[in-house]
Amino acid sequence: MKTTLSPDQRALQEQLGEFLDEELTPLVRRMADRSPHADTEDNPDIRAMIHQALTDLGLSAGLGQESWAIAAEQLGDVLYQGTLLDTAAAAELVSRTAAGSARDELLAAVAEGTRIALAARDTGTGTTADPAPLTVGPDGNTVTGSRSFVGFVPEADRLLVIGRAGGTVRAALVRPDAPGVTARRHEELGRGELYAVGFADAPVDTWLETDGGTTLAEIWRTVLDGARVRQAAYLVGLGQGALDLAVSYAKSRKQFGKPLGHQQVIALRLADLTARLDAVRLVVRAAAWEADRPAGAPRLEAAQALAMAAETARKIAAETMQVHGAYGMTEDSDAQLFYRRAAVESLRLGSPAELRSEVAPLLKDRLTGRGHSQSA
Amino acid sequence: MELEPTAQQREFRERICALLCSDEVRAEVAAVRGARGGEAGLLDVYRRLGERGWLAVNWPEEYGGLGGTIQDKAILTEELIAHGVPDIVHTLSIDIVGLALMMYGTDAQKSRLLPRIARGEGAASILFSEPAVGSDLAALETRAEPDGDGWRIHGRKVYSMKSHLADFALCAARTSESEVKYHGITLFVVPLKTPGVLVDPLWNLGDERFGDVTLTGIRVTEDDVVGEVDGGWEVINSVLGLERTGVEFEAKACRWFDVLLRHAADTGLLDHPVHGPRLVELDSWVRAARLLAWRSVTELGDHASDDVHNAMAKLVTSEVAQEVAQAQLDLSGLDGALTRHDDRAPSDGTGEAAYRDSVGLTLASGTSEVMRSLIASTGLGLLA
Repeated sequence: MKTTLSPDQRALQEQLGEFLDEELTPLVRRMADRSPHADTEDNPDIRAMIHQALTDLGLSAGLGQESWAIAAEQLGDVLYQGTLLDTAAAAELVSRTAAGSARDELLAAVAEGTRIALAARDTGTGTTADPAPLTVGPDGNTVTGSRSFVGFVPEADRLLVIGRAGGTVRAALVRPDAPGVTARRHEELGRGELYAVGFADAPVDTWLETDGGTTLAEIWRTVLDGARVRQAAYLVGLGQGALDLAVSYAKSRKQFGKPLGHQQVIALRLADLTARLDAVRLVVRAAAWEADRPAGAPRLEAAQALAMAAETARKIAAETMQVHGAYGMTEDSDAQLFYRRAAVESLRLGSPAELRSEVAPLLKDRLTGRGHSQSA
Repeated sequence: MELEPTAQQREFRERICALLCSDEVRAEVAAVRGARGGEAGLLDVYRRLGERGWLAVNWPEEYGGLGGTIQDKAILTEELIAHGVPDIVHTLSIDIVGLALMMYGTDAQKSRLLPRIARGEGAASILFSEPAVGSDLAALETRAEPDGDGWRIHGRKVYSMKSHLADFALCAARTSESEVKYHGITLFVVPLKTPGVLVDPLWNLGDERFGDVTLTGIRVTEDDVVGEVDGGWEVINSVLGLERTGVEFEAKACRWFDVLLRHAADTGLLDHPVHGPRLVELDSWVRAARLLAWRSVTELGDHASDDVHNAMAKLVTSEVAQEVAQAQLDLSGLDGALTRHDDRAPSDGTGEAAYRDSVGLTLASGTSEVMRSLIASTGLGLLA
């Protein structure tokens, strides 16, 4: 058993580290933060540039899950906001649909930087394993329905609308500026770019179809497993970023004549969270490793990884606030940014409770082997 | 990452498994577990493993091993625990005392002491803690007074497991006074079955007694010194650091969880809206514990051991095992409090025993607080 990175993965990590350097990180962190008190305008052009640059670095279709997990950790660390993770899931879904020129064109477009936003849920609860209903028009060329918490709608090139229609799961690519599509930005805790979207007989650009055998519902579930692992990795990175912030502040802020970090009560809590986060990181990477194996289907592991990462990231964000004291609550401090984002990102693909409840029946499979002792 | 075992590792695990599943071993384990007030000593299963070179598989052949890897050794530990074989004699003798001798012992000491414990015919214990000295080991009061070409040791050691049946122990004693309290401690190999050593039982929460060991002038010489005279602190620190891979703790977490999961499936609790998700959560933390432990094992095998990684592994594995032990009570209710001597106890009382045993996991080999301090200071640069 080895938990180290491959040379390729280390190279990717270094390249991303060089790109997301000390100069760019503060900018990325405040990207898409619609603070009413900020003196800088949110700039979608910078987001587009960063999406393109990350795509060019290889964060695109075809990248293995383990490499994606390592990259997503770094994106979480800088609180990256944008369409990259949604686009990755969309590309994975597209790549599993019927072969043909439409599929190839879409994948080529994604590799060139086309941005796709996922539209699968119509309420704030649920894991989206069972997507929201969608009505297909009588001619089969339009869709009607509503979606919520869809990211970056105005700047996405396509919306990938997943929904239940006529007893099956359908997937349609719709242009965000198509007639019948309306978008309203949510006013939410993360102050990010999340939208409620309405589709009223909106024309479908492309229907994604299977070539028989595997249903779209099954494909969506597999795609969701991958998305969960990447989201879990993003949350590990977010937790690491918050933790680094807390440790750094604990070293510089002096109270009672010495740095906060000299107080055992603070240092030992941060040590505990450091160990727990490291444990979660390994679980997330292990799920990604499993997904990359031939016939690997880490459904239980992906949900578990996301649930753990979500809880741990939120716990760390809350502790980061506590270490920072009242200063952490001010707009100047990144602590509140991590705290806000941890909440939203930890729920994007379902709450920890919902995720665990969904996969509980899969635990029975463990009983057929020798449980945890069966491999090493 | 590469989580798949090698073909050799898989085969080694299967061979151990076959031995531990044999009727003789199962009968012995059942007898030890079933005995009221009894305690596992040098079991026949240890001799069976020892004669195959598996008990200390990573030691060179001349000392009774097979020259295997530390990963092989970890597999043995996992399998012993997975099969419910009492493992404390093994952990103390091979993983701690044996490791110290392997790293710091002279050739003569290794030849004299290691083969017997590798064969499963003898055991070794540890004499570190004292009535007034636990985590702050450098404050120990046991003294080794110069006596001709050697020393005489006077002092009292407590919480020492298996000293009543071990052949010898690794004993920390002060040989010099020093302003720096970490200097002046020496590690000795002391015989236990000899006048001058009195071992009284300290009955406790667990199934296995602590020893209350009084040393009254037992004589030792330079041949018995492990490492340098006055340099025992270095030995203790490096051995304890290396020994903290957490494998025995994650293996306990795995065993207790697997037993609990089986019970939950048999009783329908797995489908319960509260208990099902809770088991999913525990399962993921057990996996996390195992990954942390194996990272440390692998780094140790690659001569790249990392004190902070080891501290994380020890901290998380022991705490996760404790969480599993606590959770079984929530799932089983009062039935979970029934001991193995009660016919109605679920899973032969494994959960009840785990609840008691698990307390020691966050104390042994450095408490959780010591681990957090190490992570905070060495890992995060805090506390300094």
